[in-house]
Amino acid sequence: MIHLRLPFDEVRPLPFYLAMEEWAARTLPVGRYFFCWRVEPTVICGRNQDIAAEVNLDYCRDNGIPVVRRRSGGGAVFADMQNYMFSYIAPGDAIQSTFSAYTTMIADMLCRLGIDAQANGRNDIVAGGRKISGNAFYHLPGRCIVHGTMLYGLDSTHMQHALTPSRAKLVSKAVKSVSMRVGCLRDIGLELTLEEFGRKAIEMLTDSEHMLCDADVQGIEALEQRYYAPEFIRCEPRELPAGCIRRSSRIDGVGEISATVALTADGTHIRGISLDGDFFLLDDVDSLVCRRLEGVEFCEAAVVQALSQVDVGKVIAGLDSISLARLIVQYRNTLYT
Amino acid sequence: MSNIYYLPSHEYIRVEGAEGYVGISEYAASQLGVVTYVDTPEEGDTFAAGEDFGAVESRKAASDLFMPVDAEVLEVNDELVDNPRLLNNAPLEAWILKVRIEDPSQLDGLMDQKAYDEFVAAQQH
Repeated sequence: MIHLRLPFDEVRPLPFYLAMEEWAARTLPVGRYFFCWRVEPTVICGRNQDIAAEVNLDYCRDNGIPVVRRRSGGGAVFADMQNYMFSYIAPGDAIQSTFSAYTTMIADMLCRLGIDAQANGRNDIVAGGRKISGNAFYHLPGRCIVHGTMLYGLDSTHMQHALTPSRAKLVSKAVKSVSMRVGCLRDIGLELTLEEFGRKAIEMLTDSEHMLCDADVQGIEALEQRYYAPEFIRCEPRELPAGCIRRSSRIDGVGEISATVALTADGTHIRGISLDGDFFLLDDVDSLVCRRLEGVEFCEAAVVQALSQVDVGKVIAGLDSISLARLIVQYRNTLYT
Repeated sequence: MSNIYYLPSHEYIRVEGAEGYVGISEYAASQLGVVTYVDTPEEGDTFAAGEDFGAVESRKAASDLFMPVDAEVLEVNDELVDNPRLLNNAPLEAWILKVRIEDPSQLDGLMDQKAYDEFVAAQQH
């Protein structure tokens, strides 16, 4: 794998590095490329997220924390100078295998550094029961970009306050729980400084180097401008499609769960459901939980009955079917749009 | 004779007269995994062949969508916007856009079903 190296050491705004990935995927010869980078405190939202609902924009503004959007999917993350961002560019359209190969490769690298790390199947790398890396994927024709956080240290104050997904979360125990669920390499036994870790990662993951020139940087900067376009960032609340509801709640011992439910036209049955949040996923939630709820009557008893054949706690750690049913069905008469 | 054509980026266009239905292939849907969001243009928007017109996001990835031919959007599949998982269940039926094909000769530059099947098979090796 080839290490992409910039001809300068200064820290750029985060969109520069997103543009660098995209530039590499669009212009460099077919190959596998990697680089790691750090940024001043920044919140990065997923491509289709409702930023106003995911981020405490007032806190970010008051603390000078830029909020940007990436082209990959997934949830909002916070990055700062204690965190490395890893970027990986690979050929092909095989999303599933490229993603799992990448997270496995990074987990293996951490294991060789003495960290008991594993890829958890939900785009994360965990160690010591905590998430130390969250990753996202952007697919272009014939090219894959995987990027993610690698928490060396943690400014839990900024992270907690900047990432406040909902009003419900602000008044719940969510603030405390965010830092409980996230871990960092510094606190789980990595015996390297931040800078040593960055150098070591490059050394272990790559076997050659490609130094970018000034013209390359100019090409990246041209792409970077697209990430500042207001129509791309879109901070206004996004309305749910007609017939959908979204319920979010914090469940003790589980974490924040958001259920987006599509209902039949008469609002009596579930057409489809997706679950997101900061919970720990132990198995395939879509086939084991969500699909079982398609066509089920939109009431607590029917949801519990539909889940009677599955141990929900073995899919989402700490969850049970009754808690999930209550989350999905509560406020059924007030939130249907 | 097949009336479906593909781009190398895995979008299809199913042709019916002067109109077409644009979506993503079964291979693309399987690679994306469970689709959670489809970002679509507006009716009346026009796109050139190869231009990106939206994106599809799954639990695994976000992927741009490209227009197979010069086209005007006649209709957006609202059912898919409400329930994006339909893309996983039957991608060839769950079209994303209905379009007016501006230049039918551009279809000649796309892959037919046989060529696309071979293209996907080659990718998997």
